[in-house]
Amino acid sequence: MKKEVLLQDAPGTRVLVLGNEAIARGAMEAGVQFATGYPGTPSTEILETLIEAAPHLGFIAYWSVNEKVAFDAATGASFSRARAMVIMKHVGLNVAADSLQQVKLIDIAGGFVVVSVDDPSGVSSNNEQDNRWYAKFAGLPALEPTDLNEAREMTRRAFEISEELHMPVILRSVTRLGHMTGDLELGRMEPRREKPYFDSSRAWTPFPCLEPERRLKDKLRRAGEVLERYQFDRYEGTGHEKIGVVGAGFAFNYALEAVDTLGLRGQVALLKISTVNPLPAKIIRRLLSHVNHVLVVEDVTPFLEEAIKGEAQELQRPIHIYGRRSGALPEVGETILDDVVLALADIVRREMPEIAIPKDILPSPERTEQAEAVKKLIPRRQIGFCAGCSHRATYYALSKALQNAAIKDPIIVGDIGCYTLGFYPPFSLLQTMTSMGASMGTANALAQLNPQRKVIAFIGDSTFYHAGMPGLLQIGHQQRPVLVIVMDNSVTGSTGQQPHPGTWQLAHERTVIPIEDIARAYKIPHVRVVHSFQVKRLIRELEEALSLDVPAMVISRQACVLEPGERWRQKTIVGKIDPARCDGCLVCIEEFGCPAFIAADQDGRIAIDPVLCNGCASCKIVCPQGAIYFERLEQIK
Amino acid sequence: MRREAQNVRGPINLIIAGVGGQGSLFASQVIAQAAIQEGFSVRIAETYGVTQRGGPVYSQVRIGHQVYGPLIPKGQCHLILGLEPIETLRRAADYLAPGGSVAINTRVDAPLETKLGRQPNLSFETIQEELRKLGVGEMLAVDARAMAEQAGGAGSANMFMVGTLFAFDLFPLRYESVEKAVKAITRPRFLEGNLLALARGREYALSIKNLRGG
Repeated sequence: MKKEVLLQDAPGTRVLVLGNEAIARGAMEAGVQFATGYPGTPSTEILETLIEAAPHLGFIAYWSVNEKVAFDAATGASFSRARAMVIMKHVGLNVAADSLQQVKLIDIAGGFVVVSVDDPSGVSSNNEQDNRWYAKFAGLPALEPTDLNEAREMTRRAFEISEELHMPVILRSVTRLGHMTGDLELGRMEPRREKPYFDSSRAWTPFPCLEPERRLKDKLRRAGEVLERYQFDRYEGTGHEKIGVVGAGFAFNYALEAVDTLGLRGQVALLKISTVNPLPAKIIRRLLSHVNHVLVVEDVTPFLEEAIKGEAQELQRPIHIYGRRSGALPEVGETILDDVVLALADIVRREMPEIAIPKDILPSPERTEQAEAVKKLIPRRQIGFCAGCSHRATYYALSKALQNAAIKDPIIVGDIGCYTLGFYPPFSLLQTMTSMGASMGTANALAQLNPQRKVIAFIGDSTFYHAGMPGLLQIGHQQRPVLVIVMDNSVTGSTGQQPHPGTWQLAHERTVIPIEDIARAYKIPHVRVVHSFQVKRLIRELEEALSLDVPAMVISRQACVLEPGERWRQKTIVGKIDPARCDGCLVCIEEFGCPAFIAADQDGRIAIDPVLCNGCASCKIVCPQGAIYFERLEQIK
Repeated sequence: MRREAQNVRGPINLIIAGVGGQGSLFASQVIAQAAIQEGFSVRIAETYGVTQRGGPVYSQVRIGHQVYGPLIPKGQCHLILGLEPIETLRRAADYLAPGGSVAINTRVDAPLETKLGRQPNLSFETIQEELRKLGVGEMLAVDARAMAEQAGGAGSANMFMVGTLFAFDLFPLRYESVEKAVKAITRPRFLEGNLLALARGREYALSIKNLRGG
């Protein structure tokens, strides 16, 4: 266990943790008995921590193949009276939404907590989706924590609330909290004594649904009273302030800091809202009873702003509401402090001109101009594959195979994972990328509608198991001549090397289900497995597969270089460039672009940085002059 | 002697800027661990996931007695720990406070498109000049990788740079607690190298008499 202290029953101890670890700790304190989910930045470390802790504390925790499978498993656990948790990133809840919308109607037994970590600005995602709407959509209670201690406490309480109301509770977090490191105070561990047991004497289904739908409405009304008891929401004011500042969940930090920065503490009313659904109307009305202006600070959508506007209308008070909807704060992108300070300063200048706002709160116009001038000079730095990454070798091989086969106008479909970087130079091969596993279905239709062109679909191993399998089944069933290239690095790589059913490194303890076996069962007539670093062979295999008019699959397989220990297994040799042969043509950088290639001298010759090179040797065939060679690492030292 | 933060209201804002893989995440963890040992509150914002892969990364570290969010407002970073010069300049442009300090590794890691000649390169000298234009106060520049290689391994360049922070009066932590933090979170195989690099970084920093104007 990376952080042993997270296992200790040492209330009051202060530890340095990630927001995600604080949520995991909260679940441990609540005596969680079953936890599962699917990895996805920014949520991964929650379940990762629980999986590490599980054998020590005696509960069940594992990675599921996708979020729906995970949700259904947590449902089974909750039906068995166990405290269950299912954890995913925001878009993961889309995958599990079908189950969510049924289970919400059933009186569950064990506390059921659904954790969704949203990704404002889409830092590691294709969209910025506000999952508070899921709570409203489903009609389930939801909470969003403001800081690490509340994340721990709220997670712990969410199980109690779920059990009291017999319904799942959603915990919404955001990237900034999940990936924030800070100090957490540990609480008391309260293990569950009750053994899991499934009661067969009742039916666990919402069908027929009208009565359960009615009960859901009643339960949600009761949820309002239950949640009020926990006092997650806080009002700070005297009842006389003209201006109110409201912060939702983590964004409350920005509300608070903006008020402090402007020296307005005590002069404006503050409201922290951590109850997402049902919204705490009483405390909101307390604020609205005396203010004329309200700034609402929240991430992603004006969820709270719109609700507050509704409340204000009911109170029939002429209150100005500012936020993402009004245009006072940016409509898209993560909330940042600077924007909140500006918006609040603007309201105060207009409505309370008697208050002097400090002048130096933001950089001067000259300083900003200077910054913009400097930024124009700074070169872009795009993200790219690691040195020793198998994806680079595979994309390079496909580029060559397309050239050799003289395929001019291919359609190349991408999917979700590190290999999405194939959109960018030096390969710039991918043309589409939408949701997990979508490459299969999309490629199928593209091949049908563009019969003159070769359609190639890239999919990662974890993505294949997650949602690619049904799409491949369709391709096999319709025998569509798509070439599927599996970027198989044997783990869920982009989120930090979590295992899945194809992780052969774990074959000694679990049943491995190789992708090639699945493809053959799905009647893909041409299936080949190639070692990614055997680049010449990979090019040949891809050329052959490109020439076929039937469904084909080439699996390019090599462990992820970031897998613990893998780098050192690979790095027995290190690349060198013979300066006598290198003519500075830059083909190695142009076509391969490994970060280990560095400028060696003024004449434009290239060298390989021995620290960065991981010895995969897949670049050897790239040099037209044959200048790249490899030496054993000890020879270099 | 304990160095006290001077002329700083609220938390000390520190940014660690570099390229994915340079160990900026580890450096921020070391600093944070040391800070909570000393009774400070800490908040760090950083980048995880695919966004780390060889791209620009930076950690925002806030140390103080009361810290709310982890994000540093523009123009309010008191100290930048620059593991790579281009990335240091990128963050300094937005965040460096007037007169803020910079500890910077001199080794430029050119982005791919720069290596291909598709966008201009920035020499270290140009970067230093631009930092001056941005109003940098104290500046310490050193080839951290060369220094770390002498100390026992290029992989410890980040720890060498953390060591140089002791040159700055506003860096609020004690050497002993940083050393303790390194011991607590380094994997055994790299521990010796990390500790040596940290010590060398501090020695180097304290040997520099005048940091003003770099």
